[in-house]
Amino acid sequence: MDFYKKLSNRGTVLVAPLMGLPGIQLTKTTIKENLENAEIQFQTIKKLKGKFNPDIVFPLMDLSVEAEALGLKIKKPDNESFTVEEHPIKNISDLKQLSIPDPKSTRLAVFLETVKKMSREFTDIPSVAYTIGPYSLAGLLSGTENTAMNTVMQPEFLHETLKFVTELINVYGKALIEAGAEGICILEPAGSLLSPQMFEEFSGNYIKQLKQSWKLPVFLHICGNTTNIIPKMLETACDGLSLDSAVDIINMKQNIPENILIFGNINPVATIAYGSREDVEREATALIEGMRHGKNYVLSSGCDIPADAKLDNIQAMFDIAEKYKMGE
Amino acid sequence: MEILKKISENLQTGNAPKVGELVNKALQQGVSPKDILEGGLIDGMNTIGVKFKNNEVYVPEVLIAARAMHAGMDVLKPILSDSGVEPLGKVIIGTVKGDLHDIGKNLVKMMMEGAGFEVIDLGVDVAADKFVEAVKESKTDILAMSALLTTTMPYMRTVIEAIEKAGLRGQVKIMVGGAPITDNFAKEINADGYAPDAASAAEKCKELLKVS
Repeated sequence: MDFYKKLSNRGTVLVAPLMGLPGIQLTKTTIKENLENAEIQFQTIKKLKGKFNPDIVFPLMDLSVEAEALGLKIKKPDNESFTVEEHPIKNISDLKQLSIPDPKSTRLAVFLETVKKMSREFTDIPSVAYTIGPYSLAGLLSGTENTAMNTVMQPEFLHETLKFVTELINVYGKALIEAGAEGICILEPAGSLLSPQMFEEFSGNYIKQLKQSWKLPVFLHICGNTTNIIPKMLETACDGLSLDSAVDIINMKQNIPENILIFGNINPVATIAYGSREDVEREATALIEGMRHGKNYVLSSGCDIPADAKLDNIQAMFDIAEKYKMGE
Repeated sequence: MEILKKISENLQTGNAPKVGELVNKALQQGVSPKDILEGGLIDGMNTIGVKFKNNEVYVPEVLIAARAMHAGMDVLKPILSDSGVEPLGKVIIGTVKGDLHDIGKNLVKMMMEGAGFEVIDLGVDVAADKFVEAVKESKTDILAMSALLTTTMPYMRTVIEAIEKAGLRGQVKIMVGGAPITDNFAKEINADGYAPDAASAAEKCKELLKVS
């Protein structure tokens, strides 16, 4: 069944936090175990789904896996997110040394396998996979700072890098779809460093190509304050935007067409992870009330929820949504 | 002065070689290093800072402007210390242990330098004892810490406790920042200041030291 058909059976107040990491509290596993073993990760997600009954389910977020597939050195602590240690691609000849691997022969296989298990087992809600965005992956290859400066100083080299990484993301995305993903959420955290014009040229245009190639619902998540680039995010033709807590989504909703899903945007750290239940209830209520007139709203966290977040605070989001569902 | 205006303008557009060249030229014309610093380099960085805050320029332009500022500073620095021009204060900055993210930290550093502070950068993945050692080694006015990850953010408290334990807390102001950090968190861990963005961080620095 496709993404929208499944969602249409889920009522009007949708809840889908970007959660994966807090699930390790339920399975008593480490982050490392989950990012390296599909069965462990699947069990973590299954526990989360069982506990909270979300309307869309995501795997664990890992912004290093595509870079690792290209051969970059990754730091893998037991209980922290993996990070890329070195950014060695400084020029065209460095770039030419890289090649697109078969996703199945790299750690991308963990996520392919996890998504396969998710989509087979969870027949009631859509399974949405993650990929990194092209500009952020270019940033991991060459360093975030160099990449930002290259938008002005070496745009040709940056475009060559972007073409190459977009091809990798495209191949990986197709493999995710083959594995059963019913939607893909592109994570482009470095996108908020750019001006609207730069975003369009160095990120949006490449995301648009991915959307055209994948032919299924594609969502775009960018961390930080993206208020100024929302029009350009919409131009990617993605089917939904996941906006971080720095964006006033209630105010912005009038600029977003009704056929575009809006995910957001309770503060994942200050409110969900370390705030009180009342804080979450208050923010969730304000969002549901404020976004109510749009049918395209999904109550979510502004960004990935930390592993040690209080589970009861996550529960509070669902409880508030449930209260509204009952009232209808 | 025309040449200072030119330095400021070229800094803002990120023309590093031109800024270096103009600083040399100004020195040859007899302009004082202090005036070149304040009327040229700091003025340019200041304008970039304001534009950054107002979303008129974005991170790439700030990075390129900072690069141009460094080109000017490379020429000016040896002469500045000889001519007795003092920085507004000394800042030690670093991303805390376990965290490899540095773009935010670097932007803060650039803005602070652009405001006239001397900044010593300890880099990323900095342990508490390194911060303590650095504060001990030189007369530091401000210790600034950055974290992007929620898993490394609590380490800021560890650093502050280590500074207290070393008996240094009274002589240094502590600032924290980074995407997951809030003003409340800063207060909770007993930091003296928090800023939500790089340009505000430089202002906060001035505020904490009561300089302008």
